[in-house]
Amino acid sequence: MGTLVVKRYPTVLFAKLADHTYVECGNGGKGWKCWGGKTGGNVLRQGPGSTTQADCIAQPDEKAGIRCYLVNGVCHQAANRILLPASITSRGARGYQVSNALFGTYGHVGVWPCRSPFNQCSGTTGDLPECVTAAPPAPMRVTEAVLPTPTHRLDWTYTRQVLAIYEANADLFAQPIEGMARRRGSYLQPTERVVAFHTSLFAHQIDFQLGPLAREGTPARLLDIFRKHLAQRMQAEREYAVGQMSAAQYAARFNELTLEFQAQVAEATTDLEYEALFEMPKADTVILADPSIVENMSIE
Amino acid sequence: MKLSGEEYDRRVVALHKHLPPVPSPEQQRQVRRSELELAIDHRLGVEFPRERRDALWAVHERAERRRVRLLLWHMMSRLIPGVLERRASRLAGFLTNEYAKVLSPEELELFLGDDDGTSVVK
Repeated sequence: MGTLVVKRYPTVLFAKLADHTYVECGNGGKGWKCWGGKTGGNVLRQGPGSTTQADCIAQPDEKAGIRCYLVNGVCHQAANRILLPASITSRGARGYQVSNALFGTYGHVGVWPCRSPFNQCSGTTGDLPECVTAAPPAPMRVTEAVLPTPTHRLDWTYTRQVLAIYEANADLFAQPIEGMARRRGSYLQPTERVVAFHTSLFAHQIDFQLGPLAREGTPARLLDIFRKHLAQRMQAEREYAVGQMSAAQYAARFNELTLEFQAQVAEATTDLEYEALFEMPKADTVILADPSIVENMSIE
Repeated sequence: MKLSGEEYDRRVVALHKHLPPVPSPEQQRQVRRSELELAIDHRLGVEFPRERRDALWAVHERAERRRVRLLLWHMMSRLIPGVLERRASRLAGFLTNEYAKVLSPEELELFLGDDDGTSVVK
């Protein structure tokens, strides 16, 4: 599933107290101008959603059916319509509260000549080709030997400890004994062991990425957030495993938990700690589950 | 307690998800009321008193009647450049002033103010 990003820049609307908002897809391959420009803005918010549906809603003129500016709505309402697939809005843009009070979230339908139906393009799915990120470069062949660089050495230092954690918990990955009864949705080892394993991996990540940069108490706070996130994720995994959740529902729930996790970590860390840990600024968020991939999986 | 921004977005989207492209006038009125209630829950708190919510709704409807007239200024704007923008700004000022009769200055800032602290109270 693609990503829809709402961006903003200052404009002269409402006595120069408002931001213009427009929408892009996550990789910047396509933008929708929403009654203004579509470059030069700062990210306000983003969320997963079908870029094909967004493009359908936007219509060729990229105004999303907001026919008469300042009568049916302004850029905020046009952007909100295009953002519908991601279930986010332009909330937080300057002037939004006023435009929302005057025109509502998605603008007024109005009457001729300013009639602005909101066609939600329900049932339209998928992503525009220009919004799909290019494939990564082909991996280096094993026969191409290179001298280790400092980056290689750092990677190995990190990975060596990860491998040691895996080795210490090898029984979690052992094949079940033949003939042993297995219950769908259950682990072969006690749940506490599974939690401890994943937590130790994250603890290593915190230690490696933050090191002495971490303020006192930050690692403990992060581990607390992680344990709570993990409990919810494992619950979703169980529900998916026993058929209480469809693949699409699981992917959506996983993405929801991923975003919540990033938000909670962002709250518990300074900008520097966050960027050191995740190697990206707080303003950027990522999701990982592609429902189309999950859909094709079979649970044995 | 206030609705979080994310919850507000979720509920607003859900409000509109199954509406037809051109809702009936009554549907539009109900959606306007529901959106106002959600905005109050998000900006002023879920325990904001009922009678004051009704007062804000009355303001909302008065502003809506004026907003509809913007259509006439839209049609006049080719003859009088800038008139629509001036009328829209005047409407925004009317809305702020009318809300100020129901809300305290602090509440007005919370309700209409921007997240970056830009003041609406002059």
